Amino acid sequence: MRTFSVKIGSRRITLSDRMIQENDYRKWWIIPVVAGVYLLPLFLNEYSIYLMNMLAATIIGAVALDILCGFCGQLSLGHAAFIGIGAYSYGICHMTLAINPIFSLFIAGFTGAFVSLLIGIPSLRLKGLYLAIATMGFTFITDEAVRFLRAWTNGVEGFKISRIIDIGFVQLNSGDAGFYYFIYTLVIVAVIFSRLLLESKIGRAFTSIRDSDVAAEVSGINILLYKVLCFAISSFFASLSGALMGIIIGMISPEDINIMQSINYLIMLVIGGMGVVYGAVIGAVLITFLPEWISMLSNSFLPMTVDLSILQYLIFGLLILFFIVFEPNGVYGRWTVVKGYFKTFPFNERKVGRIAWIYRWR
Amino acid sequence: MIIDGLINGIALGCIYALVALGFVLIYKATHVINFAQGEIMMFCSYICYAGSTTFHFNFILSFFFAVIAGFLLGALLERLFIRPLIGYPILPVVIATIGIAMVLQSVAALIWTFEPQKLDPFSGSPYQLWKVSISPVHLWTIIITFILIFLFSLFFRHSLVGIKLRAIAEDLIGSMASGIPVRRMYNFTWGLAGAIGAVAGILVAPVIFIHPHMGSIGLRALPAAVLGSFGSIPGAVVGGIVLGVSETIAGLYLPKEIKDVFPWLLLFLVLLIRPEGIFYTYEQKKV
Repeated sequence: MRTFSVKIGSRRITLSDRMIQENDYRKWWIIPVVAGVYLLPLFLNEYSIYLMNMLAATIIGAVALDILCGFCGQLSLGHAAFIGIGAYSYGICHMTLAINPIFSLFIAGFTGAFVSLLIGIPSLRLKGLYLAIATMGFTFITDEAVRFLRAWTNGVEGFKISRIIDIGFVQLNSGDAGFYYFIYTLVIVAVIFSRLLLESKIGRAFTSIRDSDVAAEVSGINILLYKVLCFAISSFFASLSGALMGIIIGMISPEDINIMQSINYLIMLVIGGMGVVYGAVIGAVLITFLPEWISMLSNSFLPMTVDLSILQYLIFGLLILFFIVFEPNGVYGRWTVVKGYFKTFPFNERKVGRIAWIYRWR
Repeated sequence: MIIDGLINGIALGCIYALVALGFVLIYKATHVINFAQGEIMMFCSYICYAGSTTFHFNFILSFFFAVIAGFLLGALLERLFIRPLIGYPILPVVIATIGIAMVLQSVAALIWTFEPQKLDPFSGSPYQLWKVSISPVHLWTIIITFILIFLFSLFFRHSLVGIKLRAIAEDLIGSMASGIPVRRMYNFTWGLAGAIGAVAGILVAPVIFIHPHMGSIGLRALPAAVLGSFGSIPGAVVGGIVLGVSETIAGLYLPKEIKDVFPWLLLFLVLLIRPEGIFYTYEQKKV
């Protein structure tokens, strides 16, 4: 493979006949983004802060699914079950057993990770999409189990979770700006953790399993171990996000554990772009605000007879199909194509960036 | 009581077997789990309902109308959304089938609303066979399923198209090299799966009402396919009947919560004890 590098402005770009690699690891845009996130609550009212907190919990959930789906190529339809397990175990630890909330958050995460081992070890032994079927079944089982264990979970009426969280030196109410800073710190930690995970040895093992499990096995990667590890990490973050969601809403009920919820997270990944953490973040932001836009548009264009939830379901389905058929790498994938076009401007063969991105999927 | 349970179970198992057959056909050809199979089933039973109420066909005619519509629907979905994805890895294709399921479900809800509809062609008093009473729905379900499975085995063993489909499932590159039109066969497979889904949908409609969320019944057939080693046609039939009988018998003795999630519990049992399923054949793969 021939390579040569060019210097354009301050950037050095290595071109090869296969793909383009960018040697620019100085990510200056991180500082303004983080500063913007922390300065945002100064300009928001209470309801917007509530929405942003929900968005933060959703982002953690989407990043969790990205670790499983995007890094390791395993499809899970039981994400909602893990979110529910996180919320319930936080609630039981904090409310019933009166454990310190920070500890309870971690216990919630580890409960999810432990349960994921019970599902992952039988179903990940096989090649193919058995994990998708098993997690789908697990969603139904969790739903029934929550209804069945009425003594602990309060059954159909739902479990009330305190909206106040005591983090040692200060008490935060989940509607306030203080909680906003707490939860966005967690989001930033989760995003940075998964970015570092992607570039570590473990993450490379995950991506090699995604690209070709046979090749990964041949080159000495213990597939079962890494798949189960990936599922456990993903479930840890999913349960954490569920616990945070429980704190924000103040309530969890078995109706929240359904397949639709899991598919919602999948849509975020498809729209944002899988396998890069930023894609999950973009997708979470878009999908969280999309229902509001849909209701606004349908109020102005459509007669009132159309049921909004059906319309939203239809639009989500069409969005999945549109993105899978025309841009399987999502918004972030399209953005890298555009970026690659301008960065390599004198040398751009039209398809270079595109081919590099299709390689990621193969 | 146990005999009644057995007959109910076999009838339920036949429906599971038909849906699982739809899953398995597509999986064998393309290695994709089609999560839209249940929704195709739902849509086709709505078409049968529309045939008999809106267009005033008699039942036999609307049955065939729905089956042909199911074939066309499956082929159309393949042409529109799955063919552009040939050559992609499996994950995006499976996600696309989830998208198809969402679209079909919401379109059905937009056309026919969430009101449950009744489609009961087999009404009548139960037949008496040697002291055992069997309701006409169950009898016809079992008869139609067994005829269909017999025709299918003939089709796959003796017809040229069936042999081509088996060749594609065996070795894709080799069958391409020997001149089999793989894309047209994929299209045909999806159509076949859609037609089977239509039959399953019409047979299940008298038992449960027709409803846009009825597709989740189809998902319950996935454990049957896993039990019969995903990708084996006799396995799907045996797995479906085993699942139906054991679910019905379990429903007689165990609490309702367990019966509702019984297929999924069985799935975990299968994954723990014999994850390859009953009808497993060894296959190898090149990198």
